[in-house]
Amino acid sequence: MFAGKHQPDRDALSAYLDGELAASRTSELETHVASCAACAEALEGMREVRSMLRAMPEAEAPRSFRLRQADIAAPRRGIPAPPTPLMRAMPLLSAAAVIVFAVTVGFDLAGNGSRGDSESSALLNNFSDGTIASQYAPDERELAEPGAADAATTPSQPDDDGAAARETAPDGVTGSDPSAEAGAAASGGEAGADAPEPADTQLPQASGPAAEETQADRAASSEFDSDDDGNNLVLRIVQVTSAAVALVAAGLAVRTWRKRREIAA
Amino acid sequence: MLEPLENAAHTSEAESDLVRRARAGELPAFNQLVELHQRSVYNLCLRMIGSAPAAEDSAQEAFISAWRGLGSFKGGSFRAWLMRIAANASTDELRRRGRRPAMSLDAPPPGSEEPIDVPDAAEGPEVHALRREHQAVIQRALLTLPSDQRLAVIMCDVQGFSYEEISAAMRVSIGTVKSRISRGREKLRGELGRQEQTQGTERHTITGQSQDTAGHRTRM
Repeated sequence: MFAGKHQPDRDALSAYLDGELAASRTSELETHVASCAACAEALEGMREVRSMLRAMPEAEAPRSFRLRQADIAAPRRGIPAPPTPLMRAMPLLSAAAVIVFAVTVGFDLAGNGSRGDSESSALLNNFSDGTIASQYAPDERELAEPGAADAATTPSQPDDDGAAARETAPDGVTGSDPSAEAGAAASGGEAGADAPEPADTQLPQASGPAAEETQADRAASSEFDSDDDGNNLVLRIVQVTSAAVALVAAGLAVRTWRKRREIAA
Repeated sequence: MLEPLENAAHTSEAESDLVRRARAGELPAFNQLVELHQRSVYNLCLRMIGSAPAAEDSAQEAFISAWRGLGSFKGGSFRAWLMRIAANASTDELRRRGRRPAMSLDAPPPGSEEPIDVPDAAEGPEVHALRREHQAVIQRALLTLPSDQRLAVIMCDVQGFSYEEISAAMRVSIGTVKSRISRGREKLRGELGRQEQTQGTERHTITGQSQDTAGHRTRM
């Protein structure tokens, strides 16, 4: 130990003065201080300050601080009230809202990924059964525009599927034809969407059932889409709401936390 | 002089009963607790703020806060809990009055021009005047400390609380209490030393014994 450069452990010396140093370290410290000028000086200086403070007089209370009813009823100033149970729940609420938001995003991604892939077309095959397609007939008419929009926005596989649709369209006149739909379905969801155009031009007089059928195709292919559109709105609402709740709850939780930190200062 | 404190690291049974009744809404029970602790609370505020009138406001506010916040008292040392509220009320009061706790010794905090006068009937006028000045010097030095260190030093050295109670009141570990006290004392030592140098006067200990600037002291 270098007497000149030794840095006194002030925390230990301070605790020693207060009798708060562990017994095992006390004798060690005393031995050291006896031979270390720096530590002896530090200890002495600290002892002096401590003595001065201990000698500070304790004042009598200038008056009684007993509370009267008036004191309690008066409006408060300054010190914030402890957080209400609602405020205490804010972090939890925020976390829950974030989870809900994440789930909605998960749905989003799942929904986007399933359109147009082979798995969905396999599923569409299941819907190629006529009865199921006819069940969707009423809905299809409402979906005529979305279906057309789909057709417009899905330029993939235009010619081949158009030809295939033209070939199968006459067969489809007699009603829901599994093969037609199968043919349309086999070439993918977009193909079903593409089918309406050639079908309409080829067989205007049979536009009803053909339209029905193609619309069934569209319905089948947009099986997910139709539900999605309705679900999408709900999803959006939930998404936006959960995000808003998460932010507001987080803000309130931070505010409460900061107030409590003030108290904890 | 510092009075020996009862070992109140844990609330006594009688006091626990009062706390229970106070929590149930009995104001008279709470007021008995006020009577028990008002001196400690007032003195904590006094040493934290450095002004008697401000300390009075602060102590009042502390007790109102305590009454309103009884629901959040979860057991343990009632006194430590009360001291915590008093400390917060003090820092609030300081903030309200626009003072910053870390101030130089040369500029006394506004409103504390009246020195804190704690009379002792036994002493003569000269000793009394010297002691008053001495206390004022220490009080001003205390106000230069950051509030954490100031609180720790006041509770330990001025009021005689144990590290355990200070730890409960400040809601920090005992290690943190130890280092805050240690640093607070060291900073005070520095401030008081500086003040001595600028004033170049004799240093008087509280017992009236003097010490010249060379540092030789006649010990008690």
